[in-house]
Amino acid sequence: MASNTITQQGFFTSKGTDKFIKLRSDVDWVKVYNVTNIEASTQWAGTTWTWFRGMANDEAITEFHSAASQIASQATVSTGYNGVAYHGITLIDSSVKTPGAAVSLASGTDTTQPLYSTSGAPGTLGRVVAGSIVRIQNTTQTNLNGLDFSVDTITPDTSFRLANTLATAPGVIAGALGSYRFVAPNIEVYDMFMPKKRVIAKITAASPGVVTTLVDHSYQTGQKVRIHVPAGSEMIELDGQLVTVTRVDAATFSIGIDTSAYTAFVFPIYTDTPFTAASVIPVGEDTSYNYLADGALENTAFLGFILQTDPVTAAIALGSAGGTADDIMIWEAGKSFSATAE
Amino acid sequence: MNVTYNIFSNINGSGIGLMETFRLSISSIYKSCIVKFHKLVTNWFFIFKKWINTWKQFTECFTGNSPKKLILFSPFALNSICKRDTASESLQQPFKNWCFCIIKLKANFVSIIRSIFGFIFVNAQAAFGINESSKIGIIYLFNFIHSIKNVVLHAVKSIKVTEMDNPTEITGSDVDVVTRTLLNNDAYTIMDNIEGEDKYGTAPVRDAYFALSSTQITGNLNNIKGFLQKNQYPAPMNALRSEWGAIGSLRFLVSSIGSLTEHSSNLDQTVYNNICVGMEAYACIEQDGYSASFIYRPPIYDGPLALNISVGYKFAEVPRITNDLWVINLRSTLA
Repeated sequence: MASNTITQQGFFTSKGTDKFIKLRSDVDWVKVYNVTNIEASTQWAGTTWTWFRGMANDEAITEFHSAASQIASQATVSTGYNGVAYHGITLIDSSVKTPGAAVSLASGTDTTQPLYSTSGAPGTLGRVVAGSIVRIQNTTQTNLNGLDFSVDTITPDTSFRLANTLATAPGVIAGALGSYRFVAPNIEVYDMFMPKKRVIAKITAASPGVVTTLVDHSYQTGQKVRIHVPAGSEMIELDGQLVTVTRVDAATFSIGIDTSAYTAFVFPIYTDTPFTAASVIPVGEDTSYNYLADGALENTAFLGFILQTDPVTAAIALGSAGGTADDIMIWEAGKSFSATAE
Repeated sequence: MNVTYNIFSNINGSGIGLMETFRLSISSIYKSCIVKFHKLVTNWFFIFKKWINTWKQFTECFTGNSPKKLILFSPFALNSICKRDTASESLQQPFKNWCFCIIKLKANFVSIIRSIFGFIFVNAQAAFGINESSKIGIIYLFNFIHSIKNVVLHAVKSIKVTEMDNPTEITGSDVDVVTRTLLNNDAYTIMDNIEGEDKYGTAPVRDAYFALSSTQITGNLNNIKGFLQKNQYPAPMNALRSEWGAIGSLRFLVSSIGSLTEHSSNLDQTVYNNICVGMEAYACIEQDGYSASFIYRPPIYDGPLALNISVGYKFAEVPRITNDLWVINLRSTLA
């Protein structure tokens, strides 16, 4: 690798989670150093990860301490060197909205936060972590099929839960027929432009009413949104109303309207399919705020890469490019004159 | 190839000959782009050229070389017929064309005015195309459409087509829902009605909203009951190039880069976003009045060998939704 092809470099302290690095331009190689592991000489600890164009996502060539010393060896992360596979580096272009391959589901619970068990390997475009967005399809829970959801409570490669609570349970358990697709690793990648339309999971009957969205909304206090509630969701008194957002958390915001006397909101159950889902559409902002001025005009898509790790299993994180919490990481990335298959 | 009757060149000597005709060499779909470029860049070019021509005409008048001698110069006379050489369609053999030159009335009239006021200025108006701009025009257009598409897609109310898969193919009743919603929201239709005519196989077309769709759904549109192909319009020449036909009060424009969302239906099919809009539902805002422009730097500026040219565009327009109630996303899959 010719170091004079470096286009960008940087450093960070790992939080033990996947690290997203934005780049100014596309790159053909990435190299990552875990300074903490290099100094510590812990057996099986990864020290250096190298990714070249042509390698698969979540792949890398890695160097590691093959013993509790400064002895170094090399392997690929997918092969692993401690009996388990590790995580590497994934190039990302957030403007590409093609979802990942379908991954089979084994089951899904009939609750307001359904828990889905997977029966297949995660898609090649990414893997589900807390905050990821997935799309459910072909399940017996037809009211959820085709919709995007934020997820939490992850057991890697085993199960995930829909993060934001539905007003009504789907009405049936999901059998082994369906699948899910990985849509985006987080909201930043999911959203490309403002305004951001969201499907409504729930609206409370309270003063003020609080709206929960299926995918985290990322709205800010002061934004003006219009609420669309079709007849199937029943709280039709709110349909078409223009409200000002007061952000509560990533998934909920209050709307400044007393909905306690309104018809209770329901999320249509599987027998109601087909239906048009209730939705929130940003249309402006309070004059004392200025969120939309830039965001609406700016394409927020970016090129970059993800340094992946495992936030749950320490033995995997030890050899993964994203590191473990508090590891000091340095990275460099560059562009080659050409990257061919010859 | 069309023949251009460059009549105005006959009267260069009388001051009106500043008018030049350049022919567009690219498809009319890029006319708007070219015109924008023309507005920004060409004014200065033609102002300069106008002064050059003015000086040239002045000189010709005094040296007796003015083309004005080709025409009779009696006020208000219409008795002159010009024999002119123009290019044939094959561009091989010029053919002689006799052209009744009513413009002489104007020429003489201008001459009289000129003799009174001494000088006359006429604004030069022309349009021209750069061959190299064709491709960059496509890029510009695609980027513009993409930005409109993305902004609109992320910000509009959706109505799902209702049957089987969720959504499924478009039906006449789905179009009714969209039309009714737009009407209830006081959206104006964009296109006027096309009156019926006594032509076999045609039918009148209502005043209509537009649906901006993907070319992929054209097969489905053909099969919808009540769908009127654009060749069945009483006056199909009034249809837009990208138009496919009409259902009720919705006329469908299709594009190969129409909006779609992959793997997004109940049964994992691609969902097509048919964005239905009323008049002025969205607008294109020119930032600081800049809009967009093509940049063409000829090779002569590169050096004596003239090796490199520069072609590109600057883009400072932003599509915005002016009223969210006048835009509806009719989501559908293929049958």
